Amino acid sequence: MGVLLHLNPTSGTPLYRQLANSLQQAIAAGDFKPGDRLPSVRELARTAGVNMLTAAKALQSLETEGLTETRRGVGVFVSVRAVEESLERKQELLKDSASQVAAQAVNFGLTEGQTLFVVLNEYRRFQNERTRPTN
Amino acid sequence: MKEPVLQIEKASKKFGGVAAVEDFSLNVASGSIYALIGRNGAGKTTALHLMSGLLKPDEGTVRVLGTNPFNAPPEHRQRVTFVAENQILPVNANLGQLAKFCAPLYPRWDHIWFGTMLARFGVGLDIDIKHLSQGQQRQAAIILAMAPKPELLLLDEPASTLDPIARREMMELVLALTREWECTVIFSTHILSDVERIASHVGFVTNGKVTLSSSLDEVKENVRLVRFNGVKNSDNIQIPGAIRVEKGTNSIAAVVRDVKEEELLALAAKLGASYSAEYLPLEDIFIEIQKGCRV
Repeated sequence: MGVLLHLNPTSGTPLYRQLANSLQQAIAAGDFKPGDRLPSVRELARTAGVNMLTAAKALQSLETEGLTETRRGVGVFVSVRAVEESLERKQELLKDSASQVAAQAVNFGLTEGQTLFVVLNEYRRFQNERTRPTN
Repeated sequence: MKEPVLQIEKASKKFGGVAAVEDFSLNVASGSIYALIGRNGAGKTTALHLMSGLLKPDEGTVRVLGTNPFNAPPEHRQRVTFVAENQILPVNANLGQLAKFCAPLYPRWDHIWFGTMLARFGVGLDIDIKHLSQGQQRQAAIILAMAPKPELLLLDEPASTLDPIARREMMELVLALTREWECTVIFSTHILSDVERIASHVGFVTNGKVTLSSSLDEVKENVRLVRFNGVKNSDNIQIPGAIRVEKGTNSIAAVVRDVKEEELLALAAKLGASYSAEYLPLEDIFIEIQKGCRV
């Protein structure tokens, strides 16, 4: 997949869900473009180190969410719709990390402004690192 | 819908008047990787011995691939292989010799798979078994049990005494096998983080009985830790589905099972409390359910 995948089997999120999220992120980031073929169940199970049922469930959930379409005998492909709804999906995926930040901020008694200050700084830091010319 | 690979119905087996398993029932679906989990002495090994046909139940029935494994014909025994806990291999033989000895017994023996897997896990074909490390011996035993391309592979505590790397390699072996051909794997263990990594289904064995059997995802989604914060008076509040409850001054925490989120949210609303839920690692789930089972 070209992405360093780390699954946490003991976390509360089921493995198939973690794998599906990882694939969603890859699609949202453009690692898989519309029309690109996703790994087969067997390939996915092998690279991700999960059992075949888990790999199948992950791919099935992408199909259910309309991100992919299956062409029998050929494979699973990223659907055009997937990229069109990219913004909504990206925000949806961001929600998990964001709610952790928000929960902590509320617990600490920070104001909205104080919280946004931290988030914005981090955003800018990553933005700068991305656009920095590599030697 | 395919027939279950394993069907045990109310089996019991006593040793010297003590029941190792009693009223033990279990169905395992084809293609699953099924983890039998339980404390030492819960009856896992006896169950595996019943499945492999080494033992005959005193009561009840055992059906493996539709056959009674205890007096099954050789054709059946070629389809089911078993690795005992701490399986001993002949120390003065090497794997090449063992393969030569075993292969003729199994029509589906796959020489290429055998050689590839040994090479992949760095286990030499012509090194005497006594010179292999414990982890390598275990790998060798498992690879020998896989080479006949069985439809059912039974492993009794395959990961015990193995270091983390050897355990991970063993799990990769099992996963590789199920990618290669249609095989059902049933293994017993008490290393639950391993189970979460590869199992599709789990069964809890307690005092000789199966107390829970379902897909791994279902168990993890079903049993959770919930908290109600800002509860004014926690005294007479009943939490639906609770296995264990802890009450603080103005909060309640509970481990719950088989209860819908809506019910809990409704209770939170009624109490005017905030609600949060988190999922638990399988090990914690097992411990909670075991505590609940104790009479």
